[in-house]
Amino acid sequence: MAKQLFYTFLDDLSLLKKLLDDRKNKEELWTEFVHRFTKLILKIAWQYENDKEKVIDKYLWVLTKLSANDYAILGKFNNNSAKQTPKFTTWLVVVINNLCIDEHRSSHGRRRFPKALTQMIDKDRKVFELYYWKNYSVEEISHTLSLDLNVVGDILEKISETLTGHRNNAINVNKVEFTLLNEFNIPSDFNYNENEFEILMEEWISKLTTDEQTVIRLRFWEDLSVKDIAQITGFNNEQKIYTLLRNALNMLRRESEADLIN
Amino acid sequence: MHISEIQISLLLEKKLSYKDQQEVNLHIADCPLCAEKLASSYKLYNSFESLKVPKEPHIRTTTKIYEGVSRLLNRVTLKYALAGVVLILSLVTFYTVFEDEQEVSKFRSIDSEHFLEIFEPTDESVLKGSNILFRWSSVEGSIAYRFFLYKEDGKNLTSTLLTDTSYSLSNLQLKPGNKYLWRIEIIFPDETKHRSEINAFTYTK
Repeated sequence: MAKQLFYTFLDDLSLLKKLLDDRKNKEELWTEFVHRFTKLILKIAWQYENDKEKVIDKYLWVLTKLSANDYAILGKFNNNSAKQTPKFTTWLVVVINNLCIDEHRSSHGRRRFPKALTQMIDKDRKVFELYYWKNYSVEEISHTLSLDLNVVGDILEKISETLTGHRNNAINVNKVEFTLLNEFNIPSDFNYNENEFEILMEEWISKLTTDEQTVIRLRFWEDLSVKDIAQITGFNNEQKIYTLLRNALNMLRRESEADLIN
Repeated sequence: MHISEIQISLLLEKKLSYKDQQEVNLHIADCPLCAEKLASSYKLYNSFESLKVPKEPHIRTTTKIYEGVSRLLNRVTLKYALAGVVLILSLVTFYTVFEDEQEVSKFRSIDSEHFLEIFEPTDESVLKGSNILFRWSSVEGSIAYRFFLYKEDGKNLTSTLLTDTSYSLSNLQLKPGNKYLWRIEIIFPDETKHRSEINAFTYTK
């Protein structure tokens, strides 16, 4: 009991070091570790699952991973040879999140298209393409897709809400970015073959500069705002991100026109 | 070579060197997996404090008080300030009040909705053998269990965190002729805990 009480007063790094080195008291140390970081793990697990039972499964799965092979994953923090060391909790959040992403990818496959596109159902995507990429009017869309005018209006409103006020605030496309998206020109009659389109997209993207590729991926695949991209890339200049996005989308428009229209 | 978790963490804490930042930018331009991991960690890190773990609807006032105290104790500075006081008090009371009384007095019955059924050994059993198996029913919504074994006077002998609904105890720590008490603590995702009733058994050769 006294030992268990003592462990609760260890800071995170001391607890980790003891857990990795003290073979005799591993069980008690692991108990303290689990107790200390249960909330952190659960917070992350809830980001990947909506169902309580599944969250519990994920929580236990994470603990199993962290404790496997004599805490091999946790040992990586201790063996870090970098000059700078992050906080243990920051590192743990990243590690657990990466484990969840890897697991999610292995069961659901990797993300192939920008979230902004894949989150739309087919009909909505068609309306989106015609309205934002081909500059069709609501009447023209209604006629082309044989949809009632009100239905087209509702879909456009829904798309606008999705793009401007996503429930997680993950997507925050403003008017400037709408204009940029509009430049990514894909013909409305282009029939999506996912594999073919993915290869084409990768080809177009490979022709961009590395900075342009980085901002395009972070903006359209990962739904990060321009402000967030500026911070992640260390550019710290939102204007520069807009310029990179504009140049990249211009290039993508030219490439897509060359491949799909001509 | 993918971006390491250390690099991502340093980037989140704005401690990454210029050279490493350039390497990260260069890498994510061509690696969708790392771009996804970096972006996901970034979003998580920046919203982590505000993320909530859904609470069980049954939380009682006592549990709320317990959580409030826990949160207070989790503040590092206060923790260390209290550490000295608690350690001194622990040493003074270790063999008297703390061990003999607190363990028994803080026991709390579980709610009927989280009823845990003891399968074996039944209360007041007389047991022998090299291993003693404890088994109980699973409780809906729980994420783990903690097995507690006490001497008859309430002194805690062992506590073990388990995800299974059974525990095998070696008799090495048991003395023939002595009576022992045991119970299970049920742990829920929101960190609330409930304890089962105490069961007793006598160990013989």
